Amino acid sequence: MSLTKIGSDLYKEKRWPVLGYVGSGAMAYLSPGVLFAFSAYLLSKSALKPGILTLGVAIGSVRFFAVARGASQYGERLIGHGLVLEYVARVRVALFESLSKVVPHRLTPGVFGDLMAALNGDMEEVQSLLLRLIGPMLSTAVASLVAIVIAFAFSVPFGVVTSITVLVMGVLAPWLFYGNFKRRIKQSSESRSNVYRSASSVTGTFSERRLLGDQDVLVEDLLEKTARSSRFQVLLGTGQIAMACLEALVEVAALVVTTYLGVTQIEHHSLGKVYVAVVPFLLLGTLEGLSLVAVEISRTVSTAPSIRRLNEMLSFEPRELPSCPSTLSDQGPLDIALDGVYFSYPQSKRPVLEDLSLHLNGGEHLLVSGVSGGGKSTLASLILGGRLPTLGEIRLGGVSTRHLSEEVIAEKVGYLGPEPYVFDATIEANLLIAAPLATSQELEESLSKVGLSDWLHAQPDGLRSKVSMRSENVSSGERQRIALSRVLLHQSRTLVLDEPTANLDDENEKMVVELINELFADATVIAITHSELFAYMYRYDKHLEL
Amino acid sequence: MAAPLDPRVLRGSRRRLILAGAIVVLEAASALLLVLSSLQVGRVLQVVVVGNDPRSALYPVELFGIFFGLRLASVQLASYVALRLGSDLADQYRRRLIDHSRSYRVAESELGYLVTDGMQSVVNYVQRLLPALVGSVTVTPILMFFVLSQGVLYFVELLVGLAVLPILMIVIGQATRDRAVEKLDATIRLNALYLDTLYGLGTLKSLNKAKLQTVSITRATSKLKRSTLSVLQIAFSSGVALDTLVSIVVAVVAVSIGIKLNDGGLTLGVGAAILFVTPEVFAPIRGAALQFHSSQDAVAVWDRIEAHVGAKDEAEVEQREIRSIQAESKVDSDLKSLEFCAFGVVVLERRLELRLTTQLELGQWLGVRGESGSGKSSFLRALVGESSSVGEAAIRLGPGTIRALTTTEIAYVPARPGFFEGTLQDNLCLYRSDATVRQVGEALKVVRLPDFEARLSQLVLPGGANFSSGERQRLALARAVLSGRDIWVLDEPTAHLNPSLEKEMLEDLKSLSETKIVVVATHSELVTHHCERVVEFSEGRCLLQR
Repeated sequence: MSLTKIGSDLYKEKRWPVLGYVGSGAMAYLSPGVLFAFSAYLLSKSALKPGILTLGVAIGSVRFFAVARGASQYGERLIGHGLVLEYVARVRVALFESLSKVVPHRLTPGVFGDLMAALNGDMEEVQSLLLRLIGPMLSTAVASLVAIVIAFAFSVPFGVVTSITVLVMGVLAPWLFYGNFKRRIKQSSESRSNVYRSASSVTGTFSERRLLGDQDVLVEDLLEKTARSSRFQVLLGTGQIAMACLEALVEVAALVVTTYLGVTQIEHHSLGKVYVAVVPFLLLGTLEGLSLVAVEISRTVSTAPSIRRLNEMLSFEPRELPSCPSTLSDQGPLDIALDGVYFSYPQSKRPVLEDLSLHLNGGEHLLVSGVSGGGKSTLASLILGGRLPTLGEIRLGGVSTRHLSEEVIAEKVGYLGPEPYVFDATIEANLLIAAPLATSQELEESLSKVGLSDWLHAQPDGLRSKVSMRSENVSSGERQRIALSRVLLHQSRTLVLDEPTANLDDENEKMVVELINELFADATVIAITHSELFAYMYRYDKHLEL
Repeated sequence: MAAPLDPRVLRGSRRRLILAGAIVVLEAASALLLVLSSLQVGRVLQVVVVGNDPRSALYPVELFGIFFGLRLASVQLASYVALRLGSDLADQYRRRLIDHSRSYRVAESELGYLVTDGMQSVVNYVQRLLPALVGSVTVTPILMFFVLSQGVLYFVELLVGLAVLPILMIVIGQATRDRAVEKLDATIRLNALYLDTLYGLGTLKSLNKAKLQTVSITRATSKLKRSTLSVLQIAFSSGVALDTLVSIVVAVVAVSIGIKLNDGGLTLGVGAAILFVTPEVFAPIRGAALQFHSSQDAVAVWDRIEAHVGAKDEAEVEQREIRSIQAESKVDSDLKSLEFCAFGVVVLERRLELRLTTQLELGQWLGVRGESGSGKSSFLRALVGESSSVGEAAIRLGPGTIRALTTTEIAYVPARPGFFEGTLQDNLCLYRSDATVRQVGEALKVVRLPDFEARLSQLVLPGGANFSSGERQRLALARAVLSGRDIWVLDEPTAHLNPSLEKEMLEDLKSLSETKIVVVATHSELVTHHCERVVEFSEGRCLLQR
């Protein structure tokens, strides 16, 4: 999937609304010019005291275009936003589907957070690109074409001047601006992200910085970077104004030249004198829209990274699926075997795991420890079927992960990561995702097993109380224990724990490790950690140092 | 109803008042130039259509070009002045917020946004809205005066239009306000739901529920689309009603000019000039009304900054500031003891009243114990002056000499230490930029991370994301050891450590702190073993155990 593909699918389905959008847009951009031109015609004609019929038609047309302008504008905005919002809705669903192919085992948690943070801004960029640039550009293009045709209908010189004007204002001026400012726009967006990073350094070190006295280097750095980014913003704003001036110059020149032409042609009797103001006024009305679009074009540079990021997120693919997928037996904890496992990431040559062999009987506990970057999380991803070993085999209950889908594995093997998620919903709903058929009593039991009975009783509405990642009533320790009770409800007898205590303080860490020891004594457990305390407390049969 | 222009734009700056004055002059000039151009347009039509003398139309065409060109130039210049004014204002607020963040906590998600994109929306607001507003009180009256001088009828027609405009806006605003608020709420809620599901996708996937959720996410996004569209519908209808009204007034004026011309009661030149200026009478008001919606973003940004900066004054009243006393910064070496006199924290909502009275001599440690949530961290934060406190904590320098603690003599290791983007070396030397490589190496040995000496030039990601939480804790401890400061305040310094490592580390720390005073919050018996004084926080009270 990509943004373009979603767009072309939408166009195929909604060809008529799209054409209606462009048509009503063109009408909206054209009508001020036509209104102006008709009024000028009406005036000139009136001065010559024409018949009542001519006057009546002219008056009628002026009123018609006045109302048509409003109507077409409303139509353009409504159809346009309808289409764009439909597009955005499809992109959202596509993103969900695409991400669900790789989370949680093929995206590192940190990267996931970054992508999410970027997501909202990126969507807005794309939405405003469509609404403020692509749509208006198409509409003004059509409106300008119509204006050119009308101008040619009066005389060839009119047509030529109009075409040149449209070309200069719509293409040449924005291109000039783009060419001159491309580098600066890029620098400006870099300086902006520098500010964001510097600001996060400042906010993240509040406690330490307070104690620095007068030498708060981080704040000084932020001040300097903000000043730089603000200078770029002023520079770009000035550039846009310079371009608007250029556009204005071209516009005035076009008005003067067309009036000149009109006057000369009337002198030579090749044009009726009442038409003297028609073409210049038509231009005056139409060019306004064109100059607005030209300014918008300069924004595209800043949209490019957003489009790239979204396309990246849309293009995730699931790992190749087995041709004849196997299932896992229902019986008890699985034994896990690693047989000469090598793994390296596609982009790098250096293997993360080298010739790893290990056998874990059902019910045995394994501790995996080692330095950061030693391949601990990769191992979790391999066991859970998120990735396949480059060489060698991993067997769960005797079946190679090459023959198992991630879904089949997830059904039998529980997973607990470092950042457990609590949905913005009731406690009940948060637990039911693990076991949709569980009764309230079962839910309460599972909470009491992880020591959350008192916590549950302190909630205002019991199981129906709301929780979320932001709410104060759930601490990080409680969050991890809710995740544990989900694992219990899911009745997994085989478990992979990836740094489950990384975000907990000592007290909560102790509690969670004790719970793991107690609740999963009979299960096959692979616990990955770099916490010394965890390793010290965890009851394990085998130890793997990576 | 909010004021059309936020008074903060001009408040407290002479420079900005001058710039605003310049905008008034430029807008007035543009109105006069427009009147002059319209008179030339009238002359052209008059001599060509009625006077049958196209030759003599060439001179007014040239004049029109000059006047109209100058008019567009003055409009752009006004926009440039407004840009400078806006960026001046933004710079002032940026500086205020960043200065504020020196001593007060600003959320990470806020600071970066507010000083970049947030402030950019303030600049855009000023750049677009200010000229339009100034135009409403200069351009509109000047043009109306011109129209009045040419004929009362057109003046009255325009006046009716101008009077209906605000009435229409208010009526539409009233009729749609509740609906708009309600729809906007629904939109925000649905968007939050989508993001919540996306953030928790990993959890859903590991419980094998991601596919099921696709259906409900599709439903939610299309609902989101519908509710967004109905919010927009309301906004468009008011904008379009405005535009239609303007178009109709222009048409009415054109038609009545036409009829008057036909009667012979008006010359074509005057009629054309009036028609030419008619749309411009409404342009500034229309422009201001269109900007009004987008101005809400800017005002929100502003309010958030003021909420931060303004909160400071209140906080200062409550908070016992740790004063930096310049004259005494040299006497640190004379430090004899740290005295607590009913010092601590009182939090009524949490029923905490922790007041400690004790004395720590040089080389002594105070252990602070208690369960999670008992107020240990709050007590430490109060001690370093990060949050409000009661009572006194003072330094005794010698017999009879007592002074308050200064921030620059404390090294603090919070429960979640801060790291910034920069090299590991920079991060470790935050308190003391002149530390030598040898000193850094020794500090790393103390915290049992000797391997990190080879990684000193490695870049640290924001928040220290490329280190485990145990490593972060120990690096922060190394930072305190390096600081050379006299008072160490440590929050769970040995989290995630195994007991044997913890024991070794503590012995080193103890011997290094012979000339220091240490306050340490901990769960660990090993830590309290090294403490000469121990205080236990339990059930909101404070019990001195040693």
